[in-house]
Amino acid sequence: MSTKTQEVEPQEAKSVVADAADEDPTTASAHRFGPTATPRARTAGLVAIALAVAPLVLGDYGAGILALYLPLVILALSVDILWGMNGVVSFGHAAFFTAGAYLAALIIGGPGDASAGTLNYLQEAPSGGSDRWARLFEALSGVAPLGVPVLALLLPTVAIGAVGLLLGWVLFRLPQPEVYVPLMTLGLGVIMTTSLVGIPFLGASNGLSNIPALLADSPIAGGMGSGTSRYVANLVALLAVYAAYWFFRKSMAGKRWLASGDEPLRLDSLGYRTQLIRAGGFAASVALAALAGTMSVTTTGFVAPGQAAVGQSAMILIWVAVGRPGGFFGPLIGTLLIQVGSFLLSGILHNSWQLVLGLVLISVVVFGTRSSAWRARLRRLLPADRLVRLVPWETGRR
Amino acid sequence: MGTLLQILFQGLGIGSVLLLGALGLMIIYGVMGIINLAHGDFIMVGAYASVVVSSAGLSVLSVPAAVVAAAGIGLLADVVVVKYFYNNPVASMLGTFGIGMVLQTVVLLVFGPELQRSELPISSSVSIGFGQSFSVWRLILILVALATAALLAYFIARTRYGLTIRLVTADRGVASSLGIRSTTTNRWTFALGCGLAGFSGALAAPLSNVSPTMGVNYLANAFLVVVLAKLGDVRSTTAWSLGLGLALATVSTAAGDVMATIVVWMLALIIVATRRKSLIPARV
Repeated sequence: MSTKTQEVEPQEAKSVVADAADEDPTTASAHRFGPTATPRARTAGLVAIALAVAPLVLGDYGAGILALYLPLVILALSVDILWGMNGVVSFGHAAFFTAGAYLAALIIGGPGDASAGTLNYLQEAPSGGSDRWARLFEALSGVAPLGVPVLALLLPTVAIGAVGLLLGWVLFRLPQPEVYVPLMTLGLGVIMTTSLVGIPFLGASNGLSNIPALLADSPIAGGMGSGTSRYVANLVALLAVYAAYWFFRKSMAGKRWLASGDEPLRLDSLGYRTQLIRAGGFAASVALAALAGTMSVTTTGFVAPGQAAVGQSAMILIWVAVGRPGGFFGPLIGTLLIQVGSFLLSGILHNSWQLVLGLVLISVVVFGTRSSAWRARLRRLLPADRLVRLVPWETGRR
Repeated sequence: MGTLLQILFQGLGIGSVLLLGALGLMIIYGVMGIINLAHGDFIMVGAYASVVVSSAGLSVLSVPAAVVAAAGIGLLADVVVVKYFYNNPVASMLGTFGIGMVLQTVVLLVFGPELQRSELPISSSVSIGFGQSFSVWRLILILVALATAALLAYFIARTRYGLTIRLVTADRGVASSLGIRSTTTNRWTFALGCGLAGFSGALAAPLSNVSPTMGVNYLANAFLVVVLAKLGDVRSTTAWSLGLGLALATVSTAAGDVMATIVVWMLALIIVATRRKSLIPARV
């Protein structure tokens, strides 16, 4: 088999794997997390309403805590679009997240806070050009209809998304993206962390802190507590992203994105430009990670180089894996489960919490590889029509 | 000229550490289709084992102890979970990352987060001409890495077990129809790869900070070698390791460590992306 595939285009070999997987779910390579059914608008709406009324139940402090996790849900969603829908794992999304956070912090951070140190540095730097940068950032944060610095929201997302498009174009030229992309993105975390540590005016290893909240100067937040106002800002972003995701999954573009991961060669032969589709999807995923970074830095008020590390990217993968890659609510469920668990337990378990997370990751992956075999065993035991009602994922549309 | 010589030796030093790491990764991926993200942590286990044994006064045994410890843990990991990830790159990456997290935390809980000190067995340096000198231990490391590569090449090309490894790499189905137990081959290959990681950990321990998270530093660049080199080919792995080491040393002398990481990563990406065909055969 393999001796032959050295001559065959690798993507072709991959579709052979997919075919074999359909026929014989017991083979080891049959493992494939794939998208489940997109929920009805009613279900999604109910979840949205539940999230919207949460601050009324939790109070201002609780809402402030929950607000910390919403950007992470966006981050998990960005990885899930890539992994769950396209089968490609990234070990570099924490780097894009951090890049977005730094960019947003530079734009928002005006005089009077710690990141002003950066601005002061830029202004006082001996080279005359730096002053222009400082004025540029100040001008950018000045564009604020209703007191919301919209450019801090848009620019990092667009800029880092553009970088993602370029990178995706090269990465998806690689012959077996599902093998090469994770290995290449592994380097991104190291690069981002070491370069940020080496830049003194970005706070070196301390990073930037005291970044004001997105709605800090906005009349929208008038009368809200600080926790609630952060929660509202993050929830609006999350719901907007989720709404777009809902439409995307139902759209033709979503189907093409799905097909470009499942059957790149067949999509190519139908006349679609698979590499462009995959690069575009990667760019969208990267842009979402940057948006998550923006929302996170305006919630915590803090960003540091360590957030770009490979371990952080792996953490995102744990959230997605726990929530089931490809599931619509997967990122939401996985992120909240692990992060709330970590909030409650890491105080008690200290360092052992990492051990628990490692074991969780291993068990989820083992379950993922074995579940198709278990499903096949179940299928032999039960008549197929009854199975559809018994096993929820069997109803999923591909 | 002196600087050039220094860069040359420095590059060979970096390259030999990369080589030791990449050999283990390469053989594990080639035979089993496992992308072992815990490899750096097996290096860490080897480093800790050597530190523990040599601090007990048995520094002669530090290298064998490191190999045995890493290979033993590798064998155990394979028996318990890694067997589920054969020929499944995505699952193997995530699963072995989990194993790495477990190893890191266990070491952290046992030894604490502080750096472990390891004495250089030979601390003298030799003159390499043009007024430059170079640590003897680093020279030994370069020679040992090259010797290991040669030995592994001989092992794969000339021994019966090597033949089995080549057959399973080339075609698992044919191998099993010839009566070769591919699971047994897998198991011992994983132990061999982890043993190699332990070996490099023991050798690198005196040169680097021994801490629970030291493995990450080895991982990214060692994987660049695997991506660049021809799979299962020791000679190509050796060449790319040394080449990458020289590139890192050159750029870091000219523009600093950070720039070196970035430049080498981009070079690797461009080289791989512009290739017509994958050197890693598709796995079925």
